Amino acid sequence: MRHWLPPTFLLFYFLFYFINVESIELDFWSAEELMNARTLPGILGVLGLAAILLQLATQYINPSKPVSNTIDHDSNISLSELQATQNDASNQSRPQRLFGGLRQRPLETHGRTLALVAFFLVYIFLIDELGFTIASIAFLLIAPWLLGHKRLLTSVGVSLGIPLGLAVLFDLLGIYLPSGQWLG
Amino acid sequence: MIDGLLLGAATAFTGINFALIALGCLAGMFIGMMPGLGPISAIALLIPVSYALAPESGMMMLAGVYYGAIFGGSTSSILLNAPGVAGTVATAFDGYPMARSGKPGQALAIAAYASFAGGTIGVVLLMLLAPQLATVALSFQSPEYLMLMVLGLCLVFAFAEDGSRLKALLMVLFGLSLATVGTDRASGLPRFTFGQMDLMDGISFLILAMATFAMTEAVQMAASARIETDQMRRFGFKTLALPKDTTRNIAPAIGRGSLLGFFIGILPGAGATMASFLSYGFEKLFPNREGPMLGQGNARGLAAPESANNAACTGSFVPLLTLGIPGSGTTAILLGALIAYGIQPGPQLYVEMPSLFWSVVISMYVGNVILLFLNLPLIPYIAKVLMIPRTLLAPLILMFSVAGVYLVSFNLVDLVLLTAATGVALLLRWGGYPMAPLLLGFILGGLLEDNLRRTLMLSQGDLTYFADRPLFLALGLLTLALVCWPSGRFLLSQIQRRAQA
Repeated sequence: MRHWLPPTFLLFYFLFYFINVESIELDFWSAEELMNARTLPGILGVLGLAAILLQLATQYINPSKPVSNTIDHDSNISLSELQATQNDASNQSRPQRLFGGLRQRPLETHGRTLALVAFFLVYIFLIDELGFTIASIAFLLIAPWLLGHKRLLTSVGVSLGIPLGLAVLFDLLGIYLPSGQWLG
Repeated sequence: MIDGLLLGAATAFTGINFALIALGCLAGMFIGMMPGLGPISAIALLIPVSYALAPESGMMMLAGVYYGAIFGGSTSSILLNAPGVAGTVATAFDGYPMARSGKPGQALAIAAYASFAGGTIGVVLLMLLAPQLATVALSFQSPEYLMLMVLGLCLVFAFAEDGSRLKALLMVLFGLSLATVGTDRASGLPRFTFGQMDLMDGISFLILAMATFAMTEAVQMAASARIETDQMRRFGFKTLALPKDTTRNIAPAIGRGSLLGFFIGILPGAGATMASFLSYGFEKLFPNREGPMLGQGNARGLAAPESANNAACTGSFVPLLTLGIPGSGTTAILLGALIAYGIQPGPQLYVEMPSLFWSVVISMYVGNVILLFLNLPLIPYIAKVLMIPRTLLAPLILMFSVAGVYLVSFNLVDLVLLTAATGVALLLRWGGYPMAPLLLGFILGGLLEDNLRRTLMLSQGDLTYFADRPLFLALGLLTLALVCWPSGRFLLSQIQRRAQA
């Protein structure tokens, strides 16, 4: 699934993008010009579709060969991954190392991560309702607990200190922080 | 020039001006460390303070804020993988893996030394060549800019390893397509906004940068196995001294990055982002003699873009001070500050107000030294961010990413976009798609389209127009060489293998 889901997403994206190029409005003067608002999107749509079809074809023709994932410049390597690399000399590709290991991790970790993501969505909603400072205090108090952080005193200190510190800094700089709809 | 330098030194070394430079550097450094608050925000916030000062003092302080913010911006890139400004994206490619592999102190120290060297080399070049370089900057017109953008985009071939070039290309196209969302700059008509007013200004760079780097990192950190703080304690937080091999390795990279960064910086519109990406891409062309591969915590991969973005900052003062042309958003604000002082920037500034020109130049020397001495003692303390347990660090990164996006616009739609972009970024990373080409495409997209449009208007579709543009042709050849480089390298290795057989 890992090999097919992301390229399928890109295929639909570029298809949607290309179809919508025609819906870009053109003003009277630019319709006949050498380059107008549709030109670059049109080129990008065609190139994107061609590239993703080539990618899918390559994967289809040669399914046994794993899609190369040696993205050495993509620096998003987690510490656990780097430590695993140092300790384990296996030649797994990076996403295999990055995501494959998730299967072996306890279910508890998955549950905690999902809880964090769910609470993050609540946090986004709360920012509009309670304002940035109060919502952030709540987020920093509850999110570490959801991930299994046991030191309550540290959590309370961080959750109060950082958002309030930011609020004071912004107040000093004369930037107004909205207080949220519930608090007017 | 000696008279000018003495005049500048006499102005910069008065007690109050020296304190203002230090204050500007310190404020810029701390504001730059916060994801989302880059040099533009830092200068905009301090402009009202500068109005109470003499023009020389105000400009020295604001210039200090500018390079202080760029200097400090690398810290969040290295420690949190959260580049708050486009100029420090390339710093994260090797800085973050280096910090996470147990060398956070060394990574920050390399960034500090490289920034210092880049800034200082830039100032020397500014001092010696400013008037001449201004003429060169003017000879760069839309066709040359277009080719420079194409060269930058072709660097994905240098970035990508064998077998992942198609993915890198797809990500560039994805980034370019996202850059077309919003109001078309030529006609003023909306594109891909689907009637949403919030999309009229396009997608913010910060949203993409936070989603592709910091947010995905935080989610993966939360999902990863438990990392004990004890393990982190073994890491060298206090290791600021670089091994001889590392120093020998990064010195040429800093030299190359500084020169390239400065020359890219003098071109209006190109700026620190282009400079850091180009210098990183060019480093990929040089053989790796020490340490891990580029992208996996290589010191050279950190030093080159870091020196380039600082040198580019200094370079961007060339068109500002000699021609009155702002080369970037930040220098546009500085230009506004100059005009507010009643000073008309332009070629006459150098002659009519030598004290201003030379005091800013001298303040850059002083500022770079101040930043180095301010930064080095703080590194062991700043690097301790990595000792925070992941159960606390992951929520903190999420909160700072949200702060970086929300506190700029106060718009909930931006947060919804951030969440959606994070989901897409996680999906693409899961499939092994690189994120850096996506950001590169997004950053260069607008400039590419503007310059392509102008080039087509100038040439009227006539290809012979380009035959009279040697700079365009030279850049075109360089781009072609870069594209052919991987194939050429492959062919050479095949020939060598056959010869050995």
